[in-house]
Amino acid sequence: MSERTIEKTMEFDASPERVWRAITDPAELSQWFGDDTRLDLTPGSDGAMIWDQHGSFAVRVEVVDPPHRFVWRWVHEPDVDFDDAPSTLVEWSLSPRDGGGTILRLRESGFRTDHHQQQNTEGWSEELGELQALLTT
Amino acid sequence: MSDVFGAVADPTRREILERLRREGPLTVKQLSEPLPMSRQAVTKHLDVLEGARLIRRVVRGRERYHELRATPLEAIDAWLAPYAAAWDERLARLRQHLEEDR
Repeated sequence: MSERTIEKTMEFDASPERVWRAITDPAELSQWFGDDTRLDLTPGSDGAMIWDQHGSFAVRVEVVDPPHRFVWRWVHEPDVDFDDAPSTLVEWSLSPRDGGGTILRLRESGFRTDHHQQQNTEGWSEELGELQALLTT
Repeated sequence: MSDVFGAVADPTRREILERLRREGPLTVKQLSEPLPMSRQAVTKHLDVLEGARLIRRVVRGRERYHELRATPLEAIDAWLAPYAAAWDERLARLRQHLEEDR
């Protein structure tokens, strides 16, 4: 079974520096991503993506390479510590587009990883159960 | 569908599926070799996978092989769909956000 990943590519007229700000600055993220964002652009630091409706989702920053690459992990279960739940890897890659603008690539992976298995096999079962519930409602 | 989720919730069973995907049909003996468990234990995992219709057993000569059936795994792709849709929404909002300040 291959690992399940999500990949998206988008082009923007805005410069890579501008797009970088939009995906890294908590004030900006709060305008399009969640309702509130806690983020420190230091690899290894903990943060959170917060939705009034859904709760707070723990984030851990992995790679900060402005304005090229921004990588973090997050858990899909609200209001738990980062280390207490399985996480997926979110990778943003920015590259300049010919003639101006930015090509933004997003990849989310690790919906099933060995890391999860060792860390929290139960979490995986629970996660699947939740998703199953989601699909059957 | 719950059978499929239950079947892939176990790391050993995921490893078995992964090997069948990479290497094609295998016998219990071949599947057991790298696993830290008895052949009986592996057989039990194979029973679960067969119950979820993720594998089928095929007899070739004197050997019984286990073959991957990938169709039920489409259910797994289906559960990823809401996550992908969430990204579509977020990225649409990002586009809007970036266009607003032009």
